[in-house]
Amino acid sequence: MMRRIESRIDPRSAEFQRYRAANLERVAEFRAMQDAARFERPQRDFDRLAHHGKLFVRDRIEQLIDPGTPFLELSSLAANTEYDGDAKSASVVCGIGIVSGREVIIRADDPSIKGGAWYPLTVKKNVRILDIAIENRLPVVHICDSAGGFLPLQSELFADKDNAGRIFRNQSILSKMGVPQLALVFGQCTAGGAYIPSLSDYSIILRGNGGIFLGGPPLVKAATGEVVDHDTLGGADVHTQVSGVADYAANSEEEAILLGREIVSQWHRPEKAAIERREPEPPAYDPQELYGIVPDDIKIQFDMREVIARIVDGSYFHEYQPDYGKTLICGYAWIWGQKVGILANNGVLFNDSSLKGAHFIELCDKNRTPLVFLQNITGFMVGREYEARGICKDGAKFIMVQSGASVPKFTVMVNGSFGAGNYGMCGRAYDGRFIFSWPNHQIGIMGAEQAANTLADVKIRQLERAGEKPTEAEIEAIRRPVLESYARESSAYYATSQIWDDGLIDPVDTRNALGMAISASLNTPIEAPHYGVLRF
Amino acid sequence: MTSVPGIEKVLIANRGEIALRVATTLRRLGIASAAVVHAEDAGSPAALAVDEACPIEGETPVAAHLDADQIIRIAREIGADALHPGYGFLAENAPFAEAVEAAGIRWIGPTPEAIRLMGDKIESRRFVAEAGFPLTPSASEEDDPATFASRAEEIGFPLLIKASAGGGGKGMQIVRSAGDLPRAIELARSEASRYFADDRIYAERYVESPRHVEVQILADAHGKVLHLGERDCSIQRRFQKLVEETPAPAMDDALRDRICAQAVAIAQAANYRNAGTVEFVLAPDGEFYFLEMNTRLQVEHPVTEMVTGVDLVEEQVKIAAGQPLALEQASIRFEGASIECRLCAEDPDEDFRPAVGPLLLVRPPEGPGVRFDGGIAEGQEVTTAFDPMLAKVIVHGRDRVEAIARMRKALSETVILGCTTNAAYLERILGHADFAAGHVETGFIPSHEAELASPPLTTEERDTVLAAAALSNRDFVERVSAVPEPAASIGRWQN
Amino acid sequence: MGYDFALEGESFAVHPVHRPGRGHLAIEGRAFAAELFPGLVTGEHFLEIDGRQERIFVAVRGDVHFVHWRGRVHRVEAIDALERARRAADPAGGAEVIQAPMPGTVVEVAVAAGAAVTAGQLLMTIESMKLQTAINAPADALVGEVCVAAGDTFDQGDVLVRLAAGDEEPGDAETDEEKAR
Repeated sequence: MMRRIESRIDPRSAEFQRYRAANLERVAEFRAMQDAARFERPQRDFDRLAHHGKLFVRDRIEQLIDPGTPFLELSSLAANTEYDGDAKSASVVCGIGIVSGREVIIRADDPSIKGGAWYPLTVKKNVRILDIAIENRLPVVHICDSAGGFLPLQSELFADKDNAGRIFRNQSILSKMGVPQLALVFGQCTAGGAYIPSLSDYSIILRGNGGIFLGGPPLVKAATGEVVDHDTLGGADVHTQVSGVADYAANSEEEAILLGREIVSQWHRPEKAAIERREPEPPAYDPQELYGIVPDDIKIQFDMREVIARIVDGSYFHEYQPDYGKTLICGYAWIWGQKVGILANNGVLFNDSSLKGAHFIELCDKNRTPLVFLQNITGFMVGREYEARGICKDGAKFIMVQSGASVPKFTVMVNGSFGAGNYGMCGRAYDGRFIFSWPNHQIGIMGAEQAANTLADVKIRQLERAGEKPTEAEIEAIRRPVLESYARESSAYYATSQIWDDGLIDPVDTRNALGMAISASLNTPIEAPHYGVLRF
Repeated sequence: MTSVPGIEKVLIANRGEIALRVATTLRRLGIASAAVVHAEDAGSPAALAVDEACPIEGETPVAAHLDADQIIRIAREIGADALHPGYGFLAENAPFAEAVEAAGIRWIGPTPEAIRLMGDKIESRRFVAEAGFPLTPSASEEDDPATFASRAEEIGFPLLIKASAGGGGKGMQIVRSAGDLPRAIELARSEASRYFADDRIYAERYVESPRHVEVQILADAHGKVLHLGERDCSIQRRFQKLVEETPAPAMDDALRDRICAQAVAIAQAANYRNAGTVEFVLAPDGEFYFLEMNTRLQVEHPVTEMVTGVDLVEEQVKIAAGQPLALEQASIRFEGASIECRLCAEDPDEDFRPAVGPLLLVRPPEGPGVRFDGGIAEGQEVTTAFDPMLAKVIVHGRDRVEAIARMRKALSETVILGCTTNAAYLERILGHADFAAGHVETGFIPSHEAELASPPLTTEERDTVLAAAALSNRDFVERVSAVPEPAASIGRWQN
Repeated sequence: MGYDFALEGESFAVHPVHRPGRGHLAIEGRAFAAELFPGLVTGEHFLEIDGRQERIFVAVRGDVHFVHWRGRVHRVEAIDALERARRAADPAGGAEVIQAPMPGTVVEVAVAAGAAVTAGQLLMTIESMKLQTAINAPADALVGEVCVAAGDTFDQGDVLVRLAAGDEEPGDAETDEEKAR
């Protein structure tokens, strides 16, 4: 017997209408930014592509994926707050698509952005997408067309552990795991970039535009005085007929992409981890109503059940411990026919909600049920009573179990994500397979107001100890910069720019995004559950 | 156990549809059947239908079937006491008929003399003219080669140059003006040489929009000559018949009786024996002229069988065995109407160019009044080695309207896949208002060219055909069904 | 990007439209439900399309589908998109050079300069490591120059034959110096 969530909101209420208007505006703003990042380029950049006979990166992807299939793009607004906005989507397009019937990761350099140069955030995005490949055992198709590292910022992209070298390390580990990679070389892969096709199991190189060399013609000339052109040094014929560095040569991008599809069709399809499934059905409530549920003020509470009801199949939800720990909603539901365990915030985390959360995660882990965290959390409860009752160890148990869970975890930043609440609810540091955020989302160590007040308090006490009393204006002068910087650095746009999540999404797209993400995560076997020591 | 005393075993010196047709009757009569079979026809329905399939050899299959000596040798070897030549090949070759009889094997057909007389277009015309029957004005080259061209001109234009030994529409040229005459003569002569090994030609008046009406004759060795009604074979392309029917449409009984009577008279005058067909040209004004006589069983004989209930092959065998005809003219009943369409491997949209290809699927039509005479089977390869005619679809109805309806249904239900055929084209002929009204004449196909062309597909039709092809394409289906869930149900979507 | 089929000389892209429930297709922007079921006799199928049910017969030979519907036969060819892209992208005209795949000796030369050859036609036979290999024309072409003779030895990569696509004059191999004289 499947029980549906009973919605209690009134779509005709003034509140609903107000929230809806605000959210629609936010989403419109988000979509406009995303469209600009995806499609707006100076005409000369399009001209340059045409001049070289290159397809626009999105057209390349369109031809690569199976007709009539979805494409889940990740981190479309990466780097949107950095580099003066020059590096749209961090000059690389990443996502999950279906190629020849297989779920694959597509990583495509965007040569219409500064020749596809790798900024520090490009490197971070590339490393992240390959981390996703490793965690989810997803094959990768690289479309290589990059001018190489953005040299002015080399100190931010070269030497550190998760800098450029990690890309090639991840490729090597993927190969070690038996997960195939295909590289389509549509541009000049120079220096480090040459390793992408070289570390891929299969590579196709385009005659003319394609080239692979550790040192390009200018470097060679500078190093040894040898003068040689791109094609002779590392073009299609050299590598497919003489050196064996590349596997297939193609005369057009269309031919290369079709050949790539044929190669992918040869790949073994792994068995998926077995989870509970049923015939999918759409939610009983209209997902469009999500816009009227999340308030326009982050301080205002709302019932997360209303969000769940507009994401899950049939709005069916089996709630666990409904009368205990009520600030954390736990229960089972289905998303596109895949069974999941949902943890969703309805207030701060108390002792009981922390324990409930830990317990429910254990149940899902034993039950082989993937976990979906819907975050709207300001933190754990503070105060003498709660400390005495051991909120530290209860929160620790929650974090301990969540960190050690073996089932795939997915997080949606529905609204706020502040403080340690981010941790328990599977923030970025906790190896969730995918994190998606809504445009209204905010994230920080604490809320802006709280931070501004805290810092103002510190300053006031400092001055009081010195015998001074600050004026209103002075207090304001302390608070305003804090509020401003927090506003900037807590916004969803900043977070996604830094790749703290795997992309902003329109709330109504949540169901599809999670549906695809969950399916993509199941190539990896689910280990047996086991955790560290729980402090009881 | 044979039911025709004197004939225990018959060798069929032919192939394909007619060989199968003859074998069917032989089996019914309890007569042992054999056929000469070229390697290319091994496994064909005819080869499988006879009791003995005897291999014949030749550089080409056609050459094999024209190898008189080899055929007679085989007939002797297997102890055949009769030979049925079918139509085409050596069916109207008098020396061959003589050689067969000389070998002590009964020839199931007319006497060699009759073949010589009537099988030769020039000879037969002279004979018929002398016997007082009406003929289209003509001139034979043989009479005086020097004056042939000018005598031909005297006939008046338009005229036809035809091969004397010709048949089946080959070796004929229409000439509309004096300027075209010399070239037409050359062409006709070279075709005559090539197809019939006899370069004699003659010229005759070409009646515009004529109807082609022929009469089926049966005559026994005891002087009895009957007719089994007329057939109208006006629907032709390149002088070859495509649609034949009986009774002839839009013809009053008086004219019908006159034509049939004249056919009988001609056959009698020629001392004809066995089965034959007298062909006439029927002018729009109702005048008819002797055209030629076919001294063999014809392709379109089934329509006569459908309305009279007479098995012509059976009659042929009995006549050859010396039996008198059991039928009486007055007692022959003509019931309803019958139409035959020749299914050919050709593309009417490409000027009837012969088509080749594998017969991937053959599904003959079925139903009340439907008869399918085909020598083809699934798996056969249609090549240019043989005639493009694959099969005949024959229907019978209570009247012409019913016959047309049955034929149209039969044609659209005939499924032949892998080699282009004219089935849909034939259906369009049958569905044309002019055909329904009986406005048939030998120029029907050229004059209705635009209307008979394949209509273009509507968008809906195009999509139906493409969908059928895509969904039966293994690759397409595999690729589409390979898309996993939930991606397949989410469909085309991007965040 | 769809899967291409040719009907009556025109090419159409058939897109699968993935959707929950029954199969859907889209052709030239028009989407409709379509599903094919086998019938009772060989070759017979029932196509449920757009709410109609049509009885059709289908036979397939290689990439060609023969479809019998409403008394007419249609020939639909599945197009190999990769082959078509290759043909489109192939440099048209211009000389092609046939190089030796490995060192060896020429056993026999089968064509002479100026000869028109068809795709797959034998140009020469070479021998290497006691193994004879046929060198065939990669496409229809004119033989421009045969650079070796029977008995000659050659290295890997040496030019054996120069081909032209058909509009080049064979034998026009003058050096600049010769042209300058």
